[in-house]
Amino acid sequence: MTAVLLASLPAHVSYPFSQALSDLTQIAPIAWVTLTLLLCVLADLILPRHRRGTAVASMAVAGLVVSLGFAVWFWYRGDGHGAYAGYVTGDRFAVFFEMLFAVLGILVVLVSHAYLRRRGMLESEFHVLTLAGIVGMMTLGAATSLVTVFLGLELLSVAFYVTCGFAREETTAQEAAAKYLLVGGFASAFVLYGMALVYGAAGSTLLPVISQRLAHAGVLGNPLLSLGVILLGVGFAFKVSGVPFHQWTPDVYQGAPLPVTAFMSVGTKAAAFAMIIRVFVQALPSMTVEWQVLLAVVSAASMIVGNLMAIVQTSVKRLLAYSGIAQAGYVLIGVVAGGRAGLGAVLFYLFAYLFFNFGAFAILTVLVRPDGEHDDLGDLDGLGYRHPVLGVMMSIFMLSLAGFPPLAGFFGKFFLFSAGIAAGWTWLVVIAVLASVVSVSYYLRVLLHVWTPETAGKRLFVRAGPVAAVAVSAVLAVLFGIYPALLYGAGLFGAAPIPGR
Amino acid sequence: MLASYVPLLIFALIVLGLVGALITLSFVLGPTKPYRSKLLPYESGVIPTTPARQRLSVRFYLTAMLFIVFDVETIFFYPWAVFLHQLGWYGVIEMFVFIAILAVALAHIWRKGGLEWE
Amino acid sequence: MAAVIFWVMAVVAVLGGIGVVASRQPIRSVLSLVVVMLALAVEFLILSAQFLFAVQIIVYAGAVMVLFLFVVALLGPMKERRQLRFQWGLALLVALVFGGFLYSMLGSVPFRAPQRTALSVFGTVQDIAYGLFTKYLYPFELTSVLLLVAAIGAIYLSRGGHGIQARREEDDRRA
Repeated sequence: MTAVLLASLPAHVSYPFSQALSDLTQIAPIAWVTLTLLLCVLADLILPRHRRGTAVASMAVAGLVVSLGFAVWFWYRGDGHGAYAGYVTGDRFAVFFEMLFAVLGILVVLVSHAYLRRRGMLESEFHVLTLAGIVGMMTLGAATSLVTVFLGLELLSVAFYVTCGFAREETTAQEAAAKYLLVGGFASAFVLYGMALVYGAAGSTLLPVISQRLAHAGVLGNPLLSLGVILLGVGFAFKVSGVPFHQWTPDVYQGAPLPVTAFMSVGTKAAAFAMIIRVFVQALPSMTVEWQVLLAVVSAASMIVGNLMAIVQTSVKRLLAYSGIAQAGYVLIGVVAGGRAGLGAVLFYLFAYLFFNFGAFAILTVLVRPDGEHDDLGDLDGLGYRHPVLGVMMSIFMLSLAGFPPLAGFFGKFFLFSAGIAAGWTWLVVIAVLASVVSVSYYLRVLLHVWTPETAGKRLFVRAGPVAAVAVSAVLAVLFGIYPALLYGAGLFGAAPIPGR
Repeated sequence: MLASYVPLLIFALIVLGLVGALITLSFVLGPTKPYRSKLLPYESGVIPTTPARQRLSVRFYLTAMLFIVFDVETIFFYPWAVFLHQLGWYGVIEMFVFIAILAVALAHIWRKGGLEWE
Repeated sequence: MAAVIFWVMAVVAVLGGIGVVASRQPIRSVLSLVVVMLALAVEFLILSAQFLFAVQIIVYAGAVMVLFLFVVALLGPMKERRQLRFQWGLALLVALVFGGFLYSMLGSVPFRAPQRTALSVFGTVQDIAYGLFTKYLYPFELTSVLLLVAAIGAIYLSRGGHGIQARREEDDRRA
């Protein structure tokens, strides 16, 4: 027995130092955030209590800035390739998402720190969990194996299960956490079943290998594969909160603390789209017809239901939750259209969406008081008169979400829709255009409240960190609108490593 | 291949047989004269005032959760130990990165009072 | 022989699964789940995945089930009384439709021969170790981060408002 063993397994595993260094370089942005996370946990244990929260927050920001630096450097070098036996990669697609999530992480820490302070629940675990979520999201962008995809997904989900319930004494937060845990577990199970079936049909978990095997072997009529694609599609639809798998979104968004909602609305969505592109477009191009139909239906339903439901909301958080459902529908058009133009438009939209959607949530934090959040439309009354700068920035975000030129949201939609028409999905684009027209009504309703002439009001909570984050978001939302080629070019480069069809 | 598991099967059968025999024997041989106070959870003890099925404290859950975290860690040690000779220094470093991350977890748990029963 | 064991264990696993869904007492559901796990462990053994067999028993039938029991105890092991009307009928209908769907789909699956020739090594601890510590290096290290985050989350959520650390520091300051 032992002799046979020694004969068929290598007697000595060699992994030279140069190889280790090269592998580590490919995932340097992820590894750096992980290291920061560990240091933050240790700092939390060592430092005295009153200094702990601020110190951990600054460490987190510093770590994310360095990680962003790595990502930008690798973006310009552009020679990323597979690492760790092909289970993860440092190609431009991965690096694009690493940059996106590093920026998002910095904004989240800036906003959440002031928020937690105000609410009197400043615990450094929050920043640690934020970093863990970022590691999970970056891993999803960089994963080139179903195993890695699933681990990234779980890491980000576990981080959100806890942060959703971070206000652990409040029943709304507990409800949000419990709902998200149940729905998230359900979605993960769907994804896992789908992966198992795809693995059974293809015999490998590596995405390029799956794509290769399915292209050659006569396994296309394999029912395992069709069932796997359906299950994966359902799980993914849960994660991007596409209709009809969206019911959890408004409740969780409303119950979770504002910075978490902001983080989740942008981060989970971008990570889920990275996962969809990796798994569907990269690994399963031979099943294109199946997943295209599935995603097109989800996209159309999301745009219709999301926009119609948003009209009747009175809570800004819920309104933005339904708006996020609709936005997921728009982005799905790009995935369905595919090709470099479609995927480039998806990447453009996700990066631009990061700024204007995160900014809209972040502005709401000025309404936070120690007793809780105040996010009714009425609470926004007169914001523009008392703080014209905040009012202008909120207007930028809302108009960008509605798709007014010359803001980033307009060009995002323009690229998505034109890619959709070029690929022959005219009916989907028609629905999208009609839906965006409807959406203008509720985005403008928010602005109507912001610009209500009313100067007497509750005291607002304006702090440097969140305002800086909001200002950066507003400036970039305008910049990418005036000069969209900058980001669209990056999106096209980022989409390049995904083989077209 | 399957033949090598026969001892395992015999072991399982012995265990099942022994447990079954003990339960049956005590049931058959033992005298059964039940009366009310004998059927109480604590015979001749304090008379229970609340139902025995109560909600447990969350601490039990915490303990179980932490147990799983480190149980999963331990599982990874078995294959590592068996294959360490072939893996060489590479394996040692790899496992120590893994342990270091979980040591941070242990430090956190310790410092935050997860190991204490208040 | 292997086929006989497979079918016996398959039936045991399905019966356990029905027990999980059908029993009104959560504790019984958990115990039924243990039966499912054990039956699955034997199936792994038939597929000559010995290490997986041991892990399945130690981690799933052991540790995870203990956690389930504690969660049930935490929520209060009360009998479940609420039930939808026609729940049994509906459940049976859905199960039949879904089962028929699966049967018709899986009936036409083309099975491949195993790719590996060295079946004598397959599933042994050495083989698992070789894969885990070479190819799966990145997922393996990521697992530890996942465990770390799980531990931090569990501690945070169950520690309540003022943890023991806060109280100890209070004492430190006074001393």
